[in-house]
Amino acid sequence: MSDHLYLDEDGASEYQKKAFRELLELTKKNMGNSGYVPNMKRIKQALHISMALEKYFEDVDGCTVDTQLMSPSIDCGYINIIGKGIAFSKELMEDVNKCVDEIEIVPNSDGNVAVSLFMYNIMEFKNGNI
Amino acid sequence: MGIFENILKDINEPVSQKDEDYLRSMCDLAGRFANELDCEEVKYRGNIADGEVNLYIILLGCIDVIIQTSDKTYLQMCTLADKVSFINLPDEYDESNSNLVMVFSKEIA
Repeated sequence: MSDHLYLDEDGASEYQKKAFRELLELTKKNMGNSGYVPNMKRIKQALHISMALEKYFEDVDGCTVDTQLMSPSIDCGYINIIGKGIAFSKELMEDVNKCVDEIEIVPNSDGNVAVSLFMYNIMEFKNGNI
Repeated sequence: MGIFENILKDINEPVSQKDEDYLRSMCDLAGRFANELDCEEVKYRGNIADGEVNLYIILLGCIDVIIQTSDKTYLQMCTLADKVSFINLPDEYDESNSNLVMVFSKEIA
């Protein structure tokens, strides 16, 4: 599997490549000997949407974006957004809805709201079937 | 009185036919959407502010809200609105931190 080739085809920036490699390493580490391998298409989607969110919310006071893969289950990754008022533009919402499977919204005791975007099929079985 | 009539009463100022049509569609969808969510009570409010017409769906007594992004009603609402926001009510209104507000906003036509 060549993640470099995958990224180079896309003309990704150095920052994107670095972030992608970090996410991939984390995924592989969590994968262990389960027989699953990272689903490159979904991991790439997770990276792109998390970067888009980080860029979008970087100027919004009190909002932070934290991307985590392989939690809470082996096949599910999630992106957390925590802030006072979290607003998605139509364009961003369309992107989110296209690749995210579930949105969970939780009020926090500190007055923030946490929006978690869950993505399934982050992993695929090595032989293509389960 | 239905959701739409309540929202118009809330706004309490003339709205264009386009905005009225938008609100009518959104209210219809909001009722269906909120019915599926796991919370004790749902309230709806509306206003016009900063050049936007806003529909507030206030979810009372929910620990959290889970939305399937493939849900047709939700997708229709996102398509109609220009912006979707999630707000936690301030402590003075929500000591239990179990109430959430979803806001669907659209620029005034």
